Amino acid sequence: MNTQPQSSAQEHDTVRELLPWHARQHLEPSEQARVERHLGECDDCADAFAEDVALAQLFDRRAEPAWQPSEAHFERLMAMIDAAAEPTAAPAAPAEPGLQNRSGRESGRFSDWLEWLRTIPNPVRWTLAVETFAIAGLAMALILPRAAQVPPEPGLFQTYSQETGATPAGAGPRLRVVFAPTTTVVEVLTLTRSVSAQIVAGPSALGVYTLELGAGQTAETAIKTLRGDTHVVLAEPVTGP
Amino acid sequence: MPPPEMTPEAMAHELDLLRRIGAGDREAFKTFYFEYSPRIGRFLLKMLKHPERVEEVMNDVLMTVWQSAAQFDPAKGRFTTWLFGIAHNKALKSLERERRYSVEQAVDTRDDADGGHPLEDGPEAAQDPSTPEKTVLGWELGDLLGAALDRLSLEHRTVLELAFAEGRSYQEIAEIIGCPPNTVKTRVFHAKKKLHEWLERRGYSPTLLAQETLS
Repeated sequence: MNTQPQSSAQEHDTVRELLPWHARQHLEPSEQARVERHLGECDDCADAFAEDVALAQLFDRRAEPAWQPSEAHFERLMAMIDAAAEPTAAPAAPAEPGLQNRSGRESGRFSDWLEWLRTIPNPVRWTLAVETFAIAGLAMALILPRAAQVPPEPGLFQTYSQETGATPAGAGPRLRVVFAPTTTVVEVLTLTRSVSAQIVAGPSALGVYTLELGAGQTAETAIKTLRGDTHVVLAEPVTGP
Repeated sequence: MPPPEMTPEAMAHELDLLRRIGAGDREAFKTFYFEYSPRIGRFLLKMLKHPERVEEVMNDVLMTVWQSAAQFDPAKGRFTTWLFGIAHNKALKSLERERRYSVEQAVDTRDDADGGHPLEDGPEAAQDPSTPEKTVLGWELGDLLGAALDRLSLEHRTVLELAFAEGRSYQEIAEIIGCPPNTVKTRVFHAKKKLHEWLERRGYSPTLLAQETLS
């Protein structure tokens, strides 16, 4: 039964919201005194406080999920930090070799565009690139069905056992990959396909992509292939904490 | 468990680490990593639920610390509040990215919900309202709190974890999640209410559950 006087309804509401932190003893002394005073007068709040104390005990007793730091993870992290730090030196570097000999208005516009592109943070740049590629892919998907209606050239035929290519997808192990800052979108996609993988997440703020290998593919083989390519800064299997 | 109050020595150690990290000291960063990543990882695991996502977000958090340690101002609040704020922010961004990239997966889940065959055991089973008694009987009592938390929205779950598991004051939670202190108090109140309602439907209250898990 609530025994607090009607005039203290506002006080009741205020104190009620402070109970979790009173249960945890995380209130300022003045708030603590206010809550204790009210608890002595209000049965409802006293009951609610008992529930909060019990809830705090339940939180304390449950099995907490655990994250284990490791030397290996720290090394991967530092490799990513170093890789991410590289583009900061780019503005001081000379212009693209291929652009140095170009002159005229067109080249100037292209340089302006490159300058503008450099002002965009790396993850955003990659996101834009991937989205552009996705739009191109959609356009291709619209065009390809029409192309498929064209009869095959005489003498060409396919069997059901023949590889159709281009079906890397899923259900295999996952890898975390960082590409060199100079890697183009096409190179990223070519590399991804070369290990029969698909991009399932990324790039993260650090430029990390998560690749998922096709069923039956092994992480070791794919990592070996990726690490052998100069565009790959880091390739690691995804593991739990 | 709530974090212990910091001693002046611990505070000095923390500030010294930050100062050295800000100056690019890799050894200091390594010390920081081994001391703080378990707490951040635990918090991220609760927010993200999927361990495989935690490392990626953890990397983003640590990267931010590496880049911004010199800018931390101890006059504005506790270092761990700043750190948890970064972790919270990065986790939200990761969840948003995941949402954008997993449209196909979301369709599968919806199909699954229609079919009534949960993909996973455990907490997912709690979301099937048709078999509440069965699911309670299937749990260890200690798991019931986790199952109840899994039923809450991310916002509600996060404030309860910060208030009860991390032992953060409402002012600190407000800083971490970036909203007014009164919003935190109200959010915790409503989150508790939903948690109590879920437990009550299964014949439990926090008090009863605490008594039974003690015995």
